[in-house]
Amino acid sequence: MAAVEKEPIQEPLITGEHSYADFDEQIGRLVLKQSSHGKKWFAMLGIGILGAHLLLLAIGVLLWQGIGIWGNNQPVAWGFDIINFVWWIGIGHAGTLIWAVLLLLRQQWRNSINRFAEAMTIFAVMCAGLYPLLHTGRPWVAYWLFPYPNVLAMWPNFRSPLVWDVFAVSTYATISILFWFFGLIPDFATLRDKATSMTTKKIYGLLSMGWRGSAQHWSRYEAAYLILAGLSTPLVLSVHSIVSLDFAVSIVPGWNVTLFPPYFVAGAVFAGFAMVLTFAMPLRKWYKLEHLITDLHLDWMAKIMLTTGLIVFYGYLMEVYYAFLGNEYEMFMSSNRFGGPYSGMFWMLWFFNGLLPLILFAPKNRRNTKVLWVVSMGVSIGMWLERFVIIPMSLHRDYLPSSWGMYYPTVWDIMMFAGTIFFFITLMFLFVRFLPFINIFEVKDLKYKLEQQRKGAKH
Amino acid sequence: MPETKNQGFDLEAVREKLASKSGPEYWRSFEEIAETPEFNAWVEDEFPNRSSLLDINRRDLIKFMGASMMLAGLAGCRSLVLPTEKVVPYVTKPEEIIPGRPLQFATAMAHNQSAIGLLVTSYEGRPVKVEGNPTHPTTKGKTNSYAQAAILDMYDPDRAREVHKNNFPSTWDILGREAEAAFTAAQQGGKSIVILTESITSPTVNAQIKRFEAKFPTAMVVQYDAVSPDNMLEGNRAIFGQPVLSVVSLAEADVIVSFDGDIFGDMPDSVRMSGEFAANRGKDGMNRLYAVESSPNLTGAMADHRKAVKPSVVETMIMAVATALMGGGPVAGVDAAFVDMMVKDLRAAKNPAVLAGLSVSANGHAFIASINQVLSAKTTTYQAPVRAQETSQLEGLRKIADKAKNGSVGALVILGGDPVYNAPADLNFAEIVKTQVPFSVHHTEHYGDTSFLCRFQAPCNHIFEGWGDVRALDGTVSVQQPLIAPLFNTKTASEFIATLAGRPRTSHELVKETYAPIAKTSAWDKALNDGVIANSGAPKAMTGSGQTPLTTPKLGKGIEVCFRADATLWDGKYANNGWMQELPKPLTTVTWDNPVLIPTRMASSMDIENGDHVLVTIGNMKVEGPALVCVGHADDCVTLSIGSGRKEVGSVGHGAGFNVNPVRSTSGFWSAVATVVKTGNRTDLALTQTHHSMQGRDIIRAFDVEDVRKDTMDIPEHHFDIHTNMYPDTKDEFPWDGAQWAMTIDLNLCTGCNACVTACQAENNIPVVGKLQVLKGREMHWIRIDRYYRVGAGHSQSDPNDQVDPKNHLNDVANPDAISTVMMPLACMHCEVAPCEPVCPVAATVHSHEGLNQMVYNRCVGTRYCSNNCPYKVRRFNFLNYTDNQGQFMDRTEVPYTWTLTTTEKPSGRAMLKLLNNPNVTVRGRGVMEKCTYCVQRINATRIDAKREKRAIKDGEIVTACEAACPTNAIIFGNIADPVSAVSKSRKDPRNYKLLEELNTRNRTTYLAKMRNPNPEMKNV
Repeated sequence: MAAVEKEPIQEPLITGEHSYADFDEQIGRLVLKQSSHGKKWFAMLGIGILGAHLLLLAIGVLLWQGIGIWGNNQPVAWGFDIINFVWWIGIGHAGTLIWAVLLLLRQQWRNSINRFAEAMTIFAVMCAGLYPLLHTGRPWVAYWLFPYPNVLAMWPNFRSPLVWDVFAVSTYATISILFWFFGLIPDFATLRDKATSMTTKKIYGLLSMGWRGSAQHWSRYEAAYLILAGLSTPLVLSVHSIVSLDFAVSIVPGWNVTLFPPYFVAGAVFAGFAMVLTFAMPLRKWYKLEHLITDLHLDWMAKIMLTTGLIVFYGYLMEVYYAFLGNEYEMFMSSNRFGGPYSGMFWMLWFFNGLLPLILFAPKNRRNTKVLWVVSMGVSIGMWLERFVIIPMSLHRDYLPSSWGMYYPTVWDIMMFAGTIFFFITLMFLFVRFLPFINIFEVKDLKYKLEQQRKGAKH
Repeated sequence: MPETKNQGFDLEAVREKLASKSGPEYWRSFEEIAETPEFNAWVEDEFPNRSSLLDINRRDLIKFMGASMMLAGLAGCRSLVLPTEKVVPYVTKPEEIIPGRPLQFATAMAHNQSAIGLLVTSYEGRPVKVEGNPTHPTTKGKTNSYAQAAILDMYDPDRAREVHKNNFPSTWDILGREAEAAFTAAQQGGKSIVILTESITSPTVNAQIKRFEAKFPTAMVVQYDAVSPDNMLEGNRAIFGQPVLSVVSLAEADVIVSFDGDIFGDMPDSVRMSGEFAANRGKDGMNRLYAVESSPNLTGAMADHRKAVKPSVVETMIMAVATALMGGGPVAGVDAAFVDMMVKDLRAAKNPAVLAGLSVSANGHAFIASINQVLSAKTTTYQAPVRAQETSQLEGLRKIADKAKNGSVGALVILGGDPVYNAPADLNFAEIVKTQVPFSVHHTEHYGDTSFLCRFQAPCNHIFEGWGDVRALDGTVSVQQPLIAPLFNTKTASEFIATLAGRPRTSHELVKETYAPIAKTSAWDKALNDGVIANSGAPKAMTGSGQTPLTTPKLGKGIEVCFRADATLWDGKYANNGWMQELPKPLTTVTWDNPVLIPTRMASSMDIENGDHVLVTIGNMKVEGPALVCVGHADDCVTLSIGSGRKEVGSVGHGAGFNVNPVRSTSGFWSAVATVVKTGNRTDLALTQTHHSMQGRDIIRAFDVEDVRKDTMDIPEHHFDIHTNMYPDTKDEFPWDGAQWAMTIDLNLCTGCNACVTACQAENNIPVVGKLQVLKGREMHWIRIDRYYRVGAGHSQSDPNDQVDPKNHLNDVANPDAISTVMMPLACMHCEVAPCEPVCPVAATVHSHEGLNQMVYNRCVGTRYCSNNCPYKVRRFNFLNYTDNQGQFMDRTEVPYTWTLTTTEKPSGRAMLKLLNNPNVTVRGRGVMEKCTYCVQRINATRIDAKREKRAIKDGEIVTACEAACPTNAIIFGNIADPVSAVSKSRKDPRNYKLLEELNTRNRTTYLAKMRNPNPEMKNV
């Protein structure tokens, strides 16, 4: 490049000099060669699988004994079960946002992180989905929540937000899986072509569904991809809005808040990006992919996290403001958050979600992986606390002081939660091993487009 | 074993092996010990005696196959070999029994020196529910929780089932022979034969005891109750010259003063008095109740004026009132203004009633009798007990103890009770029973601490299993008739004594003997039908002159202890009754425990929180137990409740609470001076309500009766503004179609006695969940009694001082007199716009066209959203399989050794408890939500009757279980589509209000505000 040439306005999204084949090699190697996964991978997968047994145990005992093994009670009939459900659903949201919304907005930087975020979405929805099923008193009849033709001539109660939830979450899961698989097809074909072992070739060949990479394929593929993105964009807003209606539709002080849908969506994106960052930073380092997931990516993700974090915190402030405009029950609910028996959780929430992310205003913090990782973990904890504050804290002291009570989770609650986290880790590391966790063809596309842009800038 | 292998072992080796073994070990043969290889092979072979599979030839194989095929066909005839259950209709239908239709039989139960008339509902010969007997002249169809829970005792798997001798199974014959021998020996040796019984309320039992005394002249009969009427009897004896029981009628009373007497709880005949009190407490005729009490009780909570002082001051106050009424001067050490006002009010009253609880001393009772004489109060009459005793009960017990120590008791027959557990500790009754009497037998329904120390344990019938009779406090006699043949090999008390007296008869014969004059007339049938013998009660007015023994009570210094009957377990009789153990004790709402109640001031000075253990020391006797901070408790005074902590109680009561009897002595029977120290140990207390302040919310309304009369009630306003809730403020009515069920609960009449809670539990098959589950907040009661405290009498709603939380605001509530207590029974409100309904994803909770909020158990998936969205939190969830819950008690309690005999019988126990279930109410399984149904099964039963008879349902024809039990008629259920129904009229009362009306849920259950009738001159006191 000539010295006279102006510096590009922004830093490159791909650093260093790479050929297209390099990308195939760098990413494909992770799938095709076990040697590219070191002890770290084994260690993480091992921890994940061991921990996932906790989940099996917790579910087994739960089904045998009933949800009485948990800490749920009267008046707090929802505890860890629904907190964790909402938390996991929220985590999935970054994936949907990255793959669909940013695609429509033609944000090129999404290309290197979207596969990874999509996978997180699916795994998070899998973890989330366990809870609504298992939290019911009689999970063996939980299918009654689906509208299916039956001899009882009974529909579910369409007025109940829990039924809306069933639709929202199952649609979300279906579209996410479809879209994810669809996006993987060209990469499966790449892997098929690169694979040396016959078995691997066959497996990826099967998965690539006859993809040959012809111009016709590409033309149809891109159109379909855009359509799917368009379809799933509303999901970003709808899923968590509907989840928030589980609460907003009720008359429980602290739940009956019209602010909930937007504030839940912002919270979900906030939590989702935190989780993407939590996993992306160690992975890019371990697999030496800093040239694809650059500091610039981290910076931008941190910015989104900061923005949504501010929206969420604004929501918190508005909740308090409206509570004191509202009736005595709302007022009490707010003061119970400030000074009630669980106020520690509340103040921790304000710290993790309100104050801690503010340090991301400083650009150097957004690029300091250590700081960023701590903030991301803090946000994940904060978002969990948010659901704790909303669910048990609102329920434990509502209208009649005679029925007030306390909620304490049991070891089974904690085991189930920890179990889903380990299950998630297991799935993530299996994903890293067997599927390309960075979208190969989109990175190549990105490189091409970046070069075109650069050429365009030259002329 | 094939014979050929017989000598295949070495005798020497066997000897060696045997020598090396120790302890009991069994062997099948010498080969086994020798462990010969042949033997091992033989053991391991699946078909040891066949030669070899290869030996079977083709023809045999075919034969076997053919035979197998044939036998396979026989599987269809499994009924030939396996036991089958047959359901057959009656060949000869028993008279009156129509399958599916309940029958009610009149009977009665003894309780606290009196009787409660009962109607027991029985399905196909299986009694399942207790109701009050409306023809009973004193209880008038009302019951209390003890009566409601009696049925559970009958089906208690831990009941006494068989005669045991030294804790091993025996027979009535052996018991009879040994008893006779012992009696004869005692008689010859000039030793006493002691019959120790609870207060006798049965004329028939008394008649048998008299026969026994006639046969054995050295017999000595002593009555003893842990909740003893001693002081009342002795106080009255001092005045009237004979021991009589006071019968206080509140029907006409306009000013009532109660000294430590719980009219609605532990006073004899509380069910009757509650009804009389309530009948006279309306807008138009409002009595005024003063309560002087040391341990907070329901009477104090209902009182218009309440004074909380320690027991010695209560005594002094009685004397102060007596002195003032007799024209004497003021007495030091009491609140003179309070006494003055009471005296003035009593003097001005038309029908004053002054009464004292059983815990007040004999001296106090003598004062009370004198006061009533001075006032010439017509409200108090007197009745001699069925069996008068020459000495007091405690004196009698002491005599037994003295005699036993001298070795001059030849035999001890204990009828009922549990003296080893609850006799005064200084008499050391355990030692007496164990070592000092040569022959002892305990005849009882539940084997207890006493039984296992006696030589013989003799099982007693439940009252529903045998004939008997019982006399109410006023003398009304009821005949008890059996509803079911005895479930076990039991004898009634009368049969037992008659047998011991050498005159075995059935209880039927014995009861008929007692009532020989009418036994063969139609009056007998009428008595059985009505449950009472007509006009048998006649308490007398009495006058006496014995004023001399009155002494000035000593004002005690230091902390005093008061002993009280447990509010749910009584004296321990109900300690193995799950319903009673789990019934929240009124005022404290504690379950499964009997904490030491300590006043708030003491709690803050000693830094005691709920559950911290305290050591109570009286003289050299000590007992340690958890403390509960009790708002409104008199200062310098703690309460210990008897009834918990029996060692030998059964699987339900085992380990619940602690025994306070080790510090109860003859000298400090009801109260004593003690020291209280915090020990540092802790027990978690399972309270069902942990918050005591209404937080300034409009939950329970209370007005002065004057304001109600003048219609100047300070009704809080609610703004139905848009922020409050999202349910539209529809003015249009619920789409009414047919009858519309509704309920009103008059808070002015509710005493908080808990009868409704137990009645509901019995009617609706509500499970008992155990202490661990209650601690987690998972109790299942469909109706609960909420209780709130406020500082000040709460004459005005906008009282800013109602922030009462004993934990956080100890100083605010330091003055126990300033506390007023309000109660609110709360069950499903059956909201017309029910928040629970729209949120259920599977439509398992829906509205009926008659306005019932219904729960469809079969459809319930168990998301619990309905419960979250219920502002009243009246829904209950089966977090575990609570219905089959007897297991949790059996599996989790460490059953003491003496129970091993009955543990083998326990598997049948679950089956036994199933008999208790109401067949018309679904038994709920794990994972479903449940709640009050307005007793929909009763509505439907009545509807079917009405339809069959082609008529409309009459007002008052449907009575819910809670309504039926309520001793004060506070609950009215009915049809509000009928404008003249009782419930419609009640809803038109200006005091009528909806709980949390601002939520617009349009509840069908509404409340009538509480009224107070303060002395106008006393508002400032």
